[in-house]
Amino acid sequence: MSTDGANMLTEAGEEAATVIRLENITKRFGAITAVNDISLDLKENEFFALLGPSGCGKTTLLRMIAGFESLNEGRILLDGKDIAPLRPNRRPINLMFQSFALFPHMSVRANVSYGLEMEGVRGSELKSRVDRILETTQLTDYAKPDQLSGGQRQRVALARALVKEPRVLLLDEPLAALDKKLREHMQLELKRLQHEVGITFVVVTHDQEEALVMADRIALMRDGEVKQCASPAELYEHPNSRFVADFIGVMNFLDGEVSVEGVSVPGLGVLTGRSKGDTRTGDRACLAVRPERLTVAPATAERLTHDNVLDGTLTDIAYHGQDIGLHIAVGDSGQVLVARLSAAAEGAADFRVGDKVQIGWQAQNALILPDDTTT
Amino acid sequence: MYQRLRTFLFVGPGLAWLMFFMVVPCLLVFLYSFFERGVYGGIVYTFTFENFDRAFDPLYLAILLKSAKIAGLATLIALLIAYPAAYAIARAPAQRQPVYLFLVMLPFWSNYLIRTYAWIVMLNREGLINRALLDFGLVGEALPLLYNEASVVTGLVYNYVPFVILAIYSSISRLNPEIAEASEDLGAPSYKTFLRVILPLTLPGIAAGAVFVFVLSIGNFITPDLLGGGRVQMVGNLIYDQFLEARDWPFGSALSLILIGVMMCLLFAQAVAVNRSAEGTR
Amino acid sequence: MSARIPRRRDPAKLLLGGHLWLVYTFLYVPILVLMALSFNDLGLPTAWGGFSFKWYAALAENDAVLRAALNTVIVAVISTILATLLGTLLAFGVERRQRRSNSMEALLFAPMIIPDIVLAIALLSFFTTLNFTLGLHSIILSHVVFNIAFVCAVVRTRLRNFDFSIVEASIDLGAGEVTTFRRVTLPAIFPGVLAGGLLAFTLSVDEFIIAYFTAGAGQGSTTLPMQIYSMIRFGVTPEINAMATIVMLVSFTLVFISQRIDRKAIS
Repeated sequence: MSTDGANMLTEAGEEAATVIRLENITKRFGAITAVNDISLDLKENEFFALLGPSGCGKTTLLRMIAGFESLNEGRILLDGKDIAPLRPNRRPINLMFQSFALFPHMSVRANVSYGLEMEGVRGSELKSRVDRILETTQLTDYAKPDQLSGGQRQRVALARALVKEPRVLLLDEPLAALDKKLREHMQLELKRLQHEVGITFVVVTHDQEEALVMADRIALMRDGEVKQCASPAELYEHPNSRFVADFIGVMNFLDGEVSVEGVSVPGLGVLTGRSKGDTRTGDRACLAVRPERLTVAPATAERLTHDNVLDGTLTDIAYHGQDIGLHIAVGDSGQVLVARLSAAAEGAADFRVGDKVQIGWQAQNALILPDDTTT
Repeated sequence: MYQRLRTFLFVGPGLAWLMFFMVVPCLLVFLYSFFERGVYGGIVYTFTFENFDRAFDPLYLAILLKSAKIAGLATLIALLIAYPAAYAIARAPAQRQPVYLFLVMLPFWSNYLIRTYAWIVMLNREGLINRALLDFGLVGEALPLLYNEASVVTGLVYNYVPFVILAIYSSISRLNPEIAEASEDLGAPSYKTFLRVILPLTLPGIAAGAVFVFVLSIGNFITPDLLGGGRVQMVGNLIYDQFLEARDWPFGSALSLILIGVMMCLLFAQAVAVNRSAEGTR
Repeated sequence: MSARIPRRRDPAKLLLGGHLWLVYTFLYVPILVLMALSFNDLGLPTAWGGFSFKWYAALAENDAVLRAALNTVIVAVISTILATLLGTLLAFGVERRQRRSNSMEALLFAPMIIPDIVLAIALLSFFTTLNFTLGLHSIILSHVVFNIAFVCAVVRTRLRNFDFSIVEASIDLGAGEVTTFRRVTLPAIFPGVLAGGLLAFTLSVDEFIIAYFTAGAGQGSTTLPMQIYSMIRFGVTPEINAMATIVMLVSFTLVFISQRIDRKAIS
């Protein structure tokens, strides 16, 4: 049910050590099981993302690691020791809250110093550590949080947590409160920061693009379970289920029945793709192919030589600046495939709505996935 | 302008009423405080400061100070009782909180005289508390619990604690809950989270409650009258006396002005305190 | 292998909860004692003489009390109607203006925070200076003063949450000003007006000091709180416990109803 993803390789090529091991974690709220028997290994110095639709349990899982939710079952092992019985203020783990939760009645410096004061750090050591972290996060000492912009407040929240040099930094939807341009900038900033401090970051997000950009490994969750845990590339190219394929990026799906050679789709014939071998003939399944893996040519041009070629009509053209999305209706049942090609590609600008076209793809670039609409 | 006329019609009557029946009478009191008392209790319209002088006579000053002391004590006790109660309600499950608050406020809506009278029943020699003490053999004879400063303070606390709970609860419930969690996450034990984060951020509520109790207590007439039995004189009783017994309206007016002065100072201080502390709202 | 995580008992939570219940006890015991006493045949806390309605019966015979009750109702009803009218209009007038005037705010706030004894003597001085005879009418005039402020405050809160675009929608759909007011605005703010009115009524019924000072010497202008005061001050008979119980139950019922209206209006 839950898969421990690809082992994280450090630059030296060895397997990285596990800093936190989640063992069979379960959390129930009354009749609802928010987290269902999850086991995960979080490695040293990695940027890990918990990704999923709202209600999937990712935030609950994060809060359990931080210590703000108790466990019904399971263990949380930090460097081998079970920290589940420890209160949050006793764990060498810090949480960056979605609302940032800065202390409004304290200055920036006082906010950042707070955690160290609780550890008993005083005097010159306190000052120098705070100075260093303010420099790392590019903050100068402003007066009070209400004078700061969203981006600055986030950096204060980061500084406040990082100055304590925790084993792991947890971030709850860190970019949700920022506007789009800032969000894109901060995605790379967070990545840079993680590399610089060398601490494991665990980020909760519902935005798959964000997770793909920032994370070294992603655990995609649904209804309290981890559906797939792997690197962004792995999730994108080799999703293990329709849910994962649909959630990550954009995917075309053609539904049909498994046959000996591939998937038999009503009205379109048998289409081929890669299979993981987890389907039997007769099962309901779908053929999944990414928009950028589809080749589109006018019907009047030379016939495409791909493993799979379909005829269709262009119903819509979406201009995205650097690339173009072509919406093509195939078959009689109104299925639409979306193809993506670079605006600079030859012939890209010649397509018109209503054109007759051919679409082709290679079998190795498509996937056969079982129907999991019930799971 | 049509709009102007409409506003005038709307605001006019109410405003006129307030002007005529509140502002003017208050101005009158203001004026009276500078006049003299006539021989038979009327007003002699000569300008004088003597009323204010008299107010600071040792005799009257003592009463002013005692009123302040009693009001201060009532405020302190009310705050000590109210804060934990408000905190408890704020931490209760969300659906139950309105009920808890309603139950706290309900006594507040009953008649003030009756609430005060209830303590006469509780505290007098044949009252409930003495009866209980005697019946359980804890004392040999009935204790004089009534008609002293302590009973007045008790009555004041009893009457105003619900509002203080409400004021403090408002402040607590508006805190971003993640701030307290952040404090704990950063390593602070619960008591430090309370002292360094929650308490400072709920200061506006505390200030509101404190000013409310103090202002209403210091000018209070009913409670010292009923529970003090004539032995506890506060500013309110003094003013009452001047108007209905000693018939020295100028002096009574001067005392009222002093009372309002104290009140304005406190409200001002409260406004300053609220502005200073940052908003910890969501 | 799964370990059972022990549920942490939070001692602070227990202490706080205990304190809250103590506070509730503190608040309600005196009230409950009064209520119990009113049914005590002996009428005194010394001993329980058996369940009896006799003090209620005595109350029903007490002319002075009945007259005072009637006076109180008259005063409350009239002052409430006046205050609700004026206060609501005031709220509309003030809330609709673009500019917020500090002195206006102070004026509207003042009746609620002036110590009632100061307001009482001010009104007494005022009426005396005008050679105005005192009686129930002067009480009514005085009660309207603070009631206007309360009604205005309640209605203003409602108005602030009032989505003005529904008025514009009504006009856009062709309705005139008066029709819009009658069919759109008034129904929308009515619960607020009602709540304000109930508040004013309750305040008027319970009000003692201002009534005491502005009632004058006549026998016919005694209100119930004034009657209660003299009963407490000048001779405590057990009837007063029955009186207290009735008054409290009436208050509680009024508050309860007012809460229900308010809650229904919000949803």
